[in-house]
Amino acid sequence: MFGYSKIKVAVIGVVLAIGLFFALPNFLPKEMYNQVPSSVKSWWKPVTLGLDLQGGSYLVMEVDTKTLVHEKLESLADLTRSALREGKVRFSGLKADNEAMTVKVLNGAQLNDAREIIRKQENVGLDISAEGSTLTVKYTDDALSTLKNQAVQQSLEIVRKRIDELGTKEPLIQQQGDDRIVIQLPGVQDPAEIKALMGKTAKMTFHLVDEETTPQMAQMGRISADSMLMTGEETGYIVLKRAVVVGGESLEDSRGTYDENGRPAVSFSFKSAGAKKFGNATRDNVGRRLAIVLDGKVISAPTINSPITGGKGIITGNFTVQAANDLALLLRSGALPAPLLVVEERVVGAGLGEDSIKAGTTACWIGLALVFAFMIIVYGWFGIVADLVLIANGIVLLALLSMLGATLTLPGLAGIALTVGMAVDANIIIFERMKEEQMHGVTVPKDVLTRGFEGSFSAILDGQLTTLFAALFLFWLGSGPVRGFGVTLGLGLASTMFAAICVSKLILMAWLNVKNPKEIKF
Amino acid sequence: MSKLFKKREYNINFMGQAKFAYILSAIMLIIAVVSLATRGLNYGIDFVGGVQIEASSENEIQMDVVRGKLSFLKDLSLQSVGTDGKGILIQAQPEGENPNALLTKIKDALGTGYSYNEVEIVGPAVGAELKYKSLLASILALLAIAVYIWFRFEWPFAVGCLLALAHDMVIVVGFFSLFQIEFDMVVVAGLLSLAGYDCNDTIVSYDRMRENLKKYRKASIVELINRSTNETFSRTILTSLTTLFVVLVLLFVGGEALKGFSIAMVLGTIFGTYSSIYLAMPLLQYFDVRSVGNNADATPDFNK
Repeated sequence: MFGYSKIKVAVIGVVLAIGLFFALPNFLPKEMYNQVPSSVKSWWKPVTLGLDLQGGSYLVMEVDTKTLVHEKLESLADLTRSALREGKVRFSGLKADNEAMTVKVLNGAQLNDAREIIRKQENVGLDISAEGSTLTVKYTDDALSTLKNQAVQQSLEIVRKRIDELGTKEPLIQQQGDDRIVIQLPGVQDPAEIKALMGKTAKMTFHLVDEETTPQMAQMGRISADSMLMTGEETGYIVLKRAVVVGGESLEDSRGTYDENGRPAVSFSFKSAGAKKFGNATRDNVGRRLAIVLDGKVISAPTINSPITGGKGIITGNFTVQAANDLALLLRSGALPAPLLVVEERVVGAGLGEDSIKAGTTACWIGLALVFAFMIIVYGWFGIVADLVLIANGIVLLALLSMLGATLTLPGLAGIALTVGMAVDANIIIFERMKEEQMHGVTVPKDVLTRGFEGSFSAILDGQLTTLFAALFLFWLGSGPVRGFGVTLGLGLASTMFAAICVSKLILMAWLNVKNPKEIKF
Repeated sequence: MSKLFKKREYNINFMGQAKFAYILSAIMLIIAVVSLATRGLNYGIDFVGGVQIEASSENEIQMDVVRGKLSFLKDLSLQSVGTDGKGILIQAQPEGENPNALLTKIKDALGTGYSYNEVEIVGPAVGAELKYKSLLASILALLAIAVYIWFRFEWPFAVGCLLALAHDMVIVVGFFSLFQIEFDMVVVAGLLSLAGYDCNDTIVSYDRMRENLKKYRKASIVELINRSTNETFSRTILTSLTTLFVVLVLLFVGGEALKGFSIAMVLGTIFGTYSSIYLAMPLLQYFDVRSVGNNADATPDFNK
C-alpha cells in the first residue's frame, strides 16, 4: 500500500489511533469528562498538572540530626549505665549531649573493660576516645548516615499517617536521597499546620515520680543516677525515675476528649501487652504519682488512685481543644525518631497556577500557529504535510504524557513549545535533502522521496539523541518542575522521531500514489 | 520567501569570514568571563537559599511599613510587583530561624489583608547542593554529548562540537551575569536543553561533512567545510527561525515564571546557529579530519 508495507501502515495507524484516544481527555470539556465512570477515569485521564500549575504545597523535610543524635546518645547512656553496673565498672559523670556521650571511669584499670561494654551497646560504629580516665563516645560518620537513613525510613510511614489523619487530598510522600522526605500537597495553600505537626516527634513515656528527691535537692546535685530532673508547665520542676513504665509505642488509639470537669483532655488505650504493664505498675504504686512525659516535657503527674487494669485512661493538662486533638492525632500516628525540619518549601497559589497555565498554553498555541504559517510559506504543499506531522506529533506526545501519568509543570509546557519549534526541524532536513537530490539530477518523484528520507535519517537521529542526553541529565538533576521539563523533552523526542519519519513518509507516499505527479516541485 | 530557500544559488565563503568570527567570539568570551569573575551571577533562592514571597494586598502597600514589620529578617529586600502598587516581592536570607515556623511568623508580622501567590523557602544546604548538582549535570551533559559524537563520528568532530557548545554556554551565562538577570533552576533547565538543541545544528552540518569527506576524496578540507556549510545553510537558518519564533513567543507571552528560561533559549538559539556555522565547522580544519575520516568507514552506518 502506497509503496509501504501493509503492516507498517497498520502499525502507524494503530499508534495514531491509540494516541488520539489517550490524548482526548485533555480536550474534553470538564462537565463531559466528569460523566465518565471512575473505573475508566483511573487510566483514561488528562495530563496530571504539577503543583506549580494547579496550586499547592511542596515540602522537603530533613531529619533534625542534632536532636536525633542527642536522643540516640541519651538512650545509649541509659544502656551504658546499667551495663557498666552489671559489669562492676565504677564510673561517674555519665552524660550525653548533641555530639557525644562522656563517662569518667573511676578505676583506670577498667578503662578497656568499659570501652568494650560500651561498644556492645550499639550496633552501629562508635568512635571512643580516652582522655585521662574520661571516655568520649561519638558516632562515626558512617554510623551517622545509617542513623539518618533509618530515621527517614521510620518517619515515612508516620508522616503518611499524620497527613492522612488531617484529611489532605491526594498527598504524595516520597523519600528523596538518603535523608529527606518530599511531601506534595495539591491544593494546600497554607501548610503551616502540617509543618507544625512534622516538627514534633510526639514521643510519650510514663514515669513514676521520685518522691524521695525534691527538685531543690536535685538542683544541688543530690540526685540518684536512676532519677532525672524534669520540668513541665503544670508541674514545675519535678524529679522522675528514669525507668519507663510504658511508652507511646504501646498505644493502640488516642482521641481528643474532655475530663470530668469538662476540660479538654486526651484519651488513650494500650495494646494488650502495654495494658498489662500499665496495669501492673498502677497496681503496685497506688497512692504515688505517675508522670506523663511528652518530648522531654512533663504534661502532668496525677496521683494513682486505683489500679488501671483496662489499659485505658485520659491525660489531662493545660490543653485547648485544638491542642488536645493535635496531641491525640500525634499519639495515634506514632512517634517520629526525630523532628522533621523544612529545608525546602514552595507554595503556589491556585490563582497564580491558573495564570501560568493560561500564559503557557497561549504561548504554545501562538508558537504553533507561527510555525504552521512559516512552514506553509516556505514549502507550500510540503509545509502542510509538515504541519500535519506536527499535529500527529503533538497528539502522540500528549497521549504519552497522559498515559504514563507524567506530571506537566510550567517548564514542561515550555518543553512542549520547544518541541513544537524543533520538531519541524526533522521535516526541514528531509525536504532540504529532497531538493538537493533533485539538483543532483534525481527526477523520479519516488526516488526523490526515498533518497530524501534515507539521506537525512542519520542526521535526524544523531540530533535527537544528543537532546535526549540533555533531557536525561535534567531528569536526574531536577526536583519537581525541572524534572517535569526533562520528561516532556524526552518524550517529545520520541514522538518527534515517530511523527517526522513514519507519519510524514506515509503521507507523502500516499500523495504520490494518489496524485502521481510528474515531478516534485517545492 | 526569498530565493534563498527555493534554489541554492549562493556559495558563501564562510571560511573566509571565520577569522572575523574568531575575533568576535574572543571578545564576547572575554566580556562574559570578566563579568562572571567580577560581577558574578545573580543567583535566585534556588541556589543560595532563603525565602521569597510574592504577595498582594487589598490596599496600596507602604514599603516602609512592611520593611519595619519584617525587620527581623536578615538581608531583607522588598520590590513592588505589578502596576497598581498592591503587589510585593519579599526576599530575605533568614538564618537561625526555625524553618517550620518561619512562614507563620512572617504572615503574623504582615497581618491580615494579604494573599500569598507564591512562597518559596530553600534551606542554605539545599541551595548549595542544587548549585553543585546543576554544575555537575551541565558538565556531564556536555561530556555525554561529546562522547556520543566521538562514537558516531570521530574525535575531531567531538572536540569541535564541545568547544562550540562551551562557547555558547559561557556567553549565555555571561549575559545573565552582565545584566544581573536572576539565575535559577529554570534557567539551568534552559541551558541544558539549549545544549541539546545547539548540537542538533552542528550535527546536521557534521553529518554532511562526513558524507562529503567520503564523496570528494581529493578536495581540500577548507573547501569541503565551505561546501558542507553551504549545503546545510538553508536548513540551519530555517530551523533556527522556527525555534526562534517559538522561544520569542515564550519570552513575550509565556509569563514571568518562564522569563529566565526564555532568555536563555533565545540567546542560545542565536549563538547556537552562529557557532555551528562559524566555530564548529571551521575548527575542523585544524584537525586531520581526512585521515580519521577514512577510518570512520569502519563505524556502522545507520543508513544501510
